[in-house]
Amino acid sequence: MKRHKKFQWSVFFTYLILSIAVVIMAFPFYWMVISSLDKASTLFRYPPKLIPDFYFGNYKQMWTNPPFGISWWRFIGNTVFIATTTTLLSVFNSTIAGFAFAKIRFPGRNKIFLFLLGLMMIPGEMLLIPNYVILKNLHWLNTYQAMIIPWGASVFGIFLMRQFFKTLPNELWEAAQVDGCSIGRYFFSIAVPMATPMLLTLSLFVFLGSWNSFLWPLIVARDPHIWPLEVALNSYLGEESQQWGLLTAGATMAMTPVLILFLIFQKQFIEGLSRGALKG
Amino acid sequence: MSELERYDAETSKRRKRIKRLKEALTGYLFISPASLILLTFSIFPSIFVFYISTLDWNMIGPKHFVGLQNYENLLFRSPYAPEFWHSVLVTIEYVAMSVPLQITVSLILAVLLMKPIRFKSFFRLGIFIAYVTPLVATSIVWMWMFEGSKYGIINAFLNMLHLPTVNWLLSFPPALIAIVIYVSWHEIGFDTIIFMAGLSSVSPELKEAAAIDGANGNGIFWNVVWPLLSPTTFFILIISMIGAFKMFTPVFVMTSGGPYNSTTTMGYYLYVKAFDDWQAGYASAVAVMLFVFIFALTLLNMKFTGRKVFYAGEQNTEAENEAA
Repeated sequence: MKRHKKFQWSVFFTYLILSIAVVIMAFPFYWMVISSLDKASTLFRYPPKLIPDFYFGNYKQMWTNPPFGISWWRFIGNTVFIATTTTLLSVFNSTIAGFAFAKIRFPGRNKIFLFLLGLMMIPGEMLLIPNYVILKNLHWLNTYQAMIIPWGASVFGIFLMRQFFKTLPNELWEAAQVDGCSIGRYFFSIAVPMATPMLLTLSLFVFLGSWNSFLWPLIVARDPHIWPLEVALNSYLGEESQQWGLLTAGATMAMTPVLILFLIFQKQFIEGLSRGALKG
Repeated sequence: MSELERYDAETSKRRKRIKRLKEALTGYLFISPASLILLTFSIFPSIFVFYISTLDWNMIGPKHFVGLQNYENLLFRSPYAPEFWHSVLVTIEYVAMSVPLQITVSLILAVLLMKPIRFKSFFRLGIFIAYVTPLVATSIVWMWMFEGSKYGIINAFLNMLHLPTVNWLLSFPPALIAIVIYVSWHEIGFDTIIFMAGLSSVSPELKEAAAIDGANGNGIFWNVVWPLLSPTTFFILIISMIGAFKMFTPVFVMTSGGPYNSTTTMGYYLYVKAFDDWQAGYASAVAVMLFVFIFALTLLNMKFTGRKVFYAGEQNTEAENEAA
């Protein structure tokens, strides 16, 4: 009897601690949304008000008064464009390279791959200055490609795709060969379709990484017209400092697409992460 | 052997060679786009940075070769050395606060989430979601929460508990603590997921065996699970430390390194020297030092996680295949 009761307590505490954790982790989102829906007069109030005014003026004012008078649509468009092209380029390059390292025989294959793996140890921060100089010499500063091309290949992506393609049985390729299939056709019509779940996971990682990137665009894009949302939001913080109603409205706008995307694909994302960690 | 047979044998050999050559060419073709990008934006710059670190250069004007002067400046010479070592110190303070906090909380959450509970995916989602949010947007929200007057929600909470309010982002050390709290909030979901992956690889048979031998829940955790989990713990430890050395955006947005440089971590110091002061040579030397620290941590990580082999049989074979 006593044992049974003790067991119940431990279950109770499990739920209690997890619930508190979720409340703490989610509270900033809640606070962001209700602050964005408050009038400036109710924002600075003690004790704090946990139910909003449902006042949409902040959103209106935020939307009609973007940084440098450039439309928020433009910043959103920039972000979508940069994140999408980066994802397409990076996933495509990782997939073909990963396939080559897994399945195609060519001299120096393993040596090149090990060398690329070594690149993972180099922190991106060390490359900020030389890459800035390289982009300057290419006359790429203040261009979209400066925010896309350097991120168009990732060793992590190559590694991930290679791991996947290695699991395809060699018999499959041999059978395809007997039917007169070239390696290019085998890759596009057999191997890639089989890799779809993996490609989706990798795309999510690259897309979110690009969408959330800040330091690099901050450095290479001095022209506000090509800024992604994160850089524009930072500038907005400078313009509207202390206007928390407006600022939280901007933050809500910038965060919503990411949250929606994540909620749709959370399973792939979380599982991809734990798989990567186990293998890495 | 007849003439014809020899001819046949030779053509089939030649065909095989052509096929091999074709395959090799396809291979090089497939790796070339990624290799070209990595060569231009990863491999070349990681050599180039050493060269820039020997220059006195503002990225526009003429370059002056100064040898190891920049390194001497940052290690020993005033006014550079005190600034540099201060940023190292701030980074260490930051690590000392954030890493134990993140590891303890995420380990507890991971252990609880591994229990057979209901609404598991809801709890997991709630804990993880902060990790995917953009840093500037969430930094803004936390700046408002850390607002120094009693109207900031955190101060309001402290006030309700009859604790003194804190001028979070404008005083030392609260500014650094605020950043620790914010970054931990952002990263804990990631650490929890990694810990869960580590915990799920601890075989249930071992736990059962320990239970049969009379170990209680606590005993099983500390004597069976915790040692088996050590590679994961170490991995998270190193990843968090590397993250701390590189950390930039929260400092840039929330405090700009202040007050009195009390939140100027190495990552932020590097940015200021390079892109505010335009001292490319000196900043490159800082970047190389950053690399030295992170490289040492990575080597430690590799040395330690190499012991994964000793613990988990299945991963062992895979690791060996990788090496081969």
